[in-house]
Amino acid sequence: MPQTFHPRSNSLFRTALLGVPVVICLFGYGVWAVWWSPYMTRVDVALDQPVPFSHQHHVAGLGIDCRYCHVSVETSAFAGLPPTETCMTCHSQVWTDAPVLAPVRQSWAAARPLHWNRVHDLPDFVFFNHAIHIQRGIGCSTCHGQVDQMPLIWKNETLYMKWCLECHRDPTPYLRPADQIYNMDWKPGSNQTDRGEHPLEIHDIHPEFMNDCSFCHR
Amino acid sequence: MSSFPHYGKNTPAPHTSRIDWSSLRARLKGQGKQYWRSLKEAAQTPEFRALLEREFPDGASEWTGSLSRREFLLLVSSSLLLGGLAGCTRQPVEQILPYVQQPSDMTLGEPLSFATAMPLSGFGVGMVVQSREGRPIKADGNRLHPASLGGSDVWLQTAIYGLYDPDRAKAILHYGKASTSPAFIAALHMALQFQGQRQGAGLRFLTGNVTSPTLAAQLKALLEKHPQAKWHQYEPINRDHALEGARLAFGEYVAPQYQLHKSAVIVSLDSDFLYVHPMRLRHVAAAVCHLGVLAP
Repeated sequence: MPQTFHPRSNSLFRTALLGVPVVICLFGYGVWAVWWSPYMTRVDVALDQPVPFSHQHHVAGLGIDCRYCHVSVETSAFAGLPPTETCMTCHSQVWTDAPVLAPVRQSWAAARPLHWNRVHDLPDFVFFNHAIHIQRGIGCSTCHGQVDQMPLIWKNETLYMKWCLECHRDPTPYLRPADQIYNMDWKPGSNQTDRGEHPLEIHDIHPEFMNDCSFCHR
Repeated sequence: MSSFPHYGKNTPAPHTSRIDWSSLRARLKGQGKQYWRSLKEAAQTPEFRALLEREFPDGASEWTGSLSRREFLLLVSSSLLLGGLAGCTRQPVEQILPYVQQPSDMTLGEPLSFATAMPLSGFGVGMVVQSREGRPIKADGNRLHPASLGGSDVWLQTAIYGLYDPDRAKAILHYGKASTSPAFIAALHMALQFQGQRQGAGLRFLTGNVTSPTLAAQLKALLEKHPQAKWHQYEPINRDHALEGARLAFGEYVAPQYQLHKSAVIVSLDSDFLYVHPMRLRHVAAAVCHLGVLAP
């Protein structure tokens, strides 16, 4: 009686028995690796800007407070990006002929805004409110990293939803006193979690409803 | 079942007979108005009659295309599923453009409210318009304005669309071509100078209903300067009859406002004082607060 299967099909089947799960696992690992790679997350990838504005020079070097430029971080959902006029408050008097600042001067003269490349950019289906985070004890460096050490801004965190939920589910390790919000060097103390529920009470935070979908996806 | 006619690939297609035009014309000539949907119907060709008799034309239920149903369904479902792959991209770098000079009272991300007014048939109603980053999004009544008392109606609510009307003039046009404000002023000046020599005999002003004392004073001054000029007022949906009645009652053209909260019973004869009266919003507030349910 003629055989339905070629003798080769035995070894083919044995290879596939081991090979197919291995291939699937490799594919899964590949997807995971790409998803968390800097290519997708852009973590530690400094973006080019029309003017190489150095936060390191302006914040660490000159001691300018965050709120001089990002004015509405405590009062509005949007932290605020400084208008050209803010740059010109100083640069109409210092470095007035520097070639690196030419785009700023052109923007001011022609009344055309500067086109900055957005580094921390959440998708449009997410609502993020800066003001409530600042008011409830989350400092700048917790999410943005040590901006005062960045010659060009890069993302310090993935800003993935999973990362947001880590804090929303248990905010205690990330909360800091109100006078430390703008302190770039602040690190949580060793007894942060041992403080128990008190930071949540101090800052009036209720994690029990902070994890509803419509909290952010409005 | 054998009485059913069997249609299928084996049924020969009837041959197409040519239409005899001359006999068709002759037939239709003397018949007056006769409606037909196709020439074959008018000519009553044998295959048309056969088509009418068959419930299902030859081969109607067969799929004779090269793409089989299975392949078609495969393509459709796979396109639907693969369309989801469009989401598996990394977020593109977007640009953010701040102001060059930010208005000092604007907090980005927070709305700004402006108190303004809107004329309707010449009578102004106070409004509050909420705008975000310079884009007005909502118009409501101004509770501090006596003509509104916080209420708004369909005209106030839809006034926001007027701000986004594509026909709204965005620039000065001279014979359809963009021009400048100084050019317009210069042209107007020249025309007025010419009219000034003739005491304004060729000058006409067309306005709607004017209730503004300032505008009225300005127009009066203009008419004194050009005595021969004429001022025409026209309002397409107007209260001319009500004004005439007021003149008969009070001796001058006045627009009455009613103090509805002082009345127990109101009889309105063809006066829609809650919907189209200049003081309608005040009347609604009074009626709702003081009179309870109103009969239609």
